[in-house]
Amino acid sequence: MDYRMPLYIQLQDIIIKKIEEKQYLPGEAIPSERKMAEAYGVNRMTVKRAVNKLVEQKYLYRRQGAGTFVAKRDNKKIDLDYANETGNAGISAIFREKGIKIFNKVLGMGEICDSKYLNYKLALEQGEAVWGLHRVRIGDDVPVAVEYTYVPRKYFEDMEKFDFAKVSLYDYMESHGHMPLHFIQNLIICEANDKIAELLNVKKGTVIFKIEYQGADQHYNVVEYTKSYINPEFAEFKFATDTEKEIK
Amino acid sequence: MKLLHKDEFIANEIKFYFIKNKIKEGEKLPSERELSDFFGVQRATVRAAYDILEEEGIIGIKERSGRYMGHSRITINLQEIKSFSDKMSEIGIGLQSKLMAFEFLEADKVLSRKMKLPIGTPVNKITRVRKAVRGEKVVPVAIEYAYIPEEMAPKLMKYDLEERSLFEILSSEYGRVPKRDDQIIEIVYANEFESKTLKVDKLTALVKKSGITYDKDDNVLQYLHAIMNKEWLQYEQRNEMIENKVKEVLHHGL
Repeated sequence: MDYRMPLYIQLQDIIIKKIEEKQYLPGEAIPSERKMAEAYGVNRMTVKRAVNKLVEQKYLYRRQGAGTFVAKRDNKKIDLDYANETGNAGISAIFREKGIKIFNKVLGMGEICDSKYLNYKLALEQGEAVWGLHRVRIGDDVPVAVEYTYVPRKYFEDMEKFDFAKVSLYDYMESHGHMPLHFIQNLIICEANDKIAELLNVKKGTVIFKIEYQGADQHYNVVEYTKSYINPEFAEFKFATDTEKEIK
Repeated sequence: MKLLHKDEFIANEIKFYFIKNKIKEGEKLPSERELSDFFGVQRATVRAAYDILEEEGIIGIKERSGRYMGHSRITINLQEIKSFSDKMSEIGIGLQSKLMAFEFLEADKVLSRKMKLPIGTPVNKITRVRKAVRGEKVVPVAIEYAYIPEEMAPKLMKYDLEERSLFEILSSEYGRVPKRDDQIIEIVYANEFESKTLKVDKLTALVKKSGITYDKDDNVLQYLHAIMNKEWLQYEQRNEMIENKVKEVLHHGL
């Protein structure tokens, strides 16, 4: 950044940098306009202008009476975060709307036997049973994703007793010692078929993101296979690669 | 209610059949009758399952002579920084690059934000079309706009940008090795130029991948803006441990 740039632009740049470098964390308040004006020796109006721009660009959001906060770009695991082991590569679904609360609607749950395909995806031997959990993830009354999750029955015998409209699947999996920590992920862009279109409340043929992932626990047991169809209106995908942190 | 309809269940099993039998791109697929015998279900179920796979783009659209396996996708591994040509050659797809334009410009406000460089930074803009070669057919799969700061690669124009990969030129001619990148994947709709170049209808959904590549000193080496045909690519994060686990069950006779 050139020092001759308008001050509010330079200030914007400083704030964005601090967000990116995680000096300001998502959900955290940034310093008050008065403090920033003091710290950088600029007019408060200049700070206001920079902050306004960043609110427009959704880096920040304001809460009346409370201050200005860094938008939550990283969602919690249950909120469609496709975590990855190193914090390095990986896809994370980021909701464009900030502070969106995700509810789950359970479409169905049940045992699936003799599916060679699902057993293959979950690295199970022939004859081992699988639980399936089909959900719609709803944020602010709008369906944002349809998720079909399959888990090995042997690790989660009592799964049927839980209501996954209320209980987070990952909390449940963690309580059984099989939290998915390592992932294979695959992202494609496809068109919604009749069924998915209806569930996402979009027209058939709407272009959507489809992510498939297989998750393994700390002992590398494959504990999850999920297909997730995501309405692109609500999410974008970011990923970062660093050759030095590459997983071997 | 059953969790999976019969046709959905069978569609999955057919996918497994493809994996188990290592069905390759373009290969003729078993008839509905053969599969209905194989799975012990009605032909109508197999037909519906095949329709699902067709919708998913896994198999080709039904032809008079039968059904065929769909083309493989160009896999973009999220843990590696690779040039497009490396990705294509990996899955055995021939690649042609066509240089559409080489421009010299100064970053305006929009570009300066994207590249995280000040306004006025001298930049080379390289527009290339990537084409996949499959036998007789040449299919345009991507338009790439690469913006390279002049400072990082002076006189870039003298190198052959159709034959050589940009990353290779940056590494071997300028000693600038790409180290990390930040990318965003979005869905966009084809404008006139894109629809013509990629030979798709106007307003067809396309994938936009954009982001900055840095070298080890955090210099911006490139801002790439690529518009790609969504049928041709997939993004992947691999994990060898899980892959091996899954392969194991195949050997055990699943």
